[in-house]
Amino acid sequence: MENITEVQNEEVKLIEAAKKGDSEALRILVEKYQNVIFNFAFKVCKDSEKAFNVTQETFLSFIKNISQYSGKAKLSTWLYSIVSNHCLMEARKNKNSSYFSDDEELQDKDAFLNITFYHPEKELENEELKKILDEAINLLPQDYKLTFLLRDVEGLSVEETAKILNISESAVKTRTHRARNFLRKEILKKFEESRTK
Amino acid sequence: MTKDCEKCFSEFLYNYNFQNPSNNCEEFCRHIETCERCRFQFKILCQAIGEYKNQLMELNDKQKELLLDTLMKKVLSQK
Repeated sequence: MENITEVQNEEVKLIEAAKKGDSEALRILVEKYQNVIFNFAFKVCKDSEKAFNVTQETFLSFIKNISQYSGKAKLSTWLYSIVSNHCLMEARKNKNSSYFSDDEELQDKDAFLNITFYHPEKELENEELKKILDEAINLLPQDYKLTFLLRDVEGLSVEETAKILNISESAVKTRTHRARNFLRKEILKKFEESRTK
Repeated sequence: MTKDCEKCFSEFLYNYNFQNPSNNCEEFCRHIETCERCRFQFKILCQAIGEYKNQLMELNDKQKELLLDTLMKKVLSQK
């Protein structure tokens, strides 16, 4: 197994070469991250064509701005930041209604109190659960969706997510919390509907 | 679910790390031992997120080719 430091050093070399216009280095970097970025864009956009366009725009921005990449953040963090911005721009083209107010201080404690579903006797199949979560995530406004996907699906830290979305760490925590609570409510609601069918 | 349950679950969701499930909410840990309802809800949420994480999308070969082709043209145009 390759040593992590060796892999990172190799990437630094590739970035430096790409900055100097080495197209082969750039191709290797794009090939390395294209599926990660497309996968993330697809989860946000839920449309293969839109996700492809966002992926393309992300790498075009990457090429255009690579000379400004300082190496302080991981390349993946930088790419997540670019793809998140393009996803938000894509979403603004077809702006949907928000399920949350813009007020970060929305009273969480009262918003989700009426959850009473409890039916362990009929558990859902994993495929069904995945579909339910997919639908519930789609109901989240884009900024909450991005935060949830970066934190709980991509597995990034609060600090990394804050850097990527250019928001405070406390805003990341608040958004993640509210998104989780919302998803919990939606999953259980669907679960209940499924049980009564 | 009582209001106490809800408060406990809500605090737990604020702190929980789904990637590294080191549960920092001792109160919830104790609570979940005895409250089957919360335990069930937690299990469903973890399972749903786990399944969602497994859903991987990849560019197909045609898209990969088109992406690289477009990017390389862009690189060459900048030289």
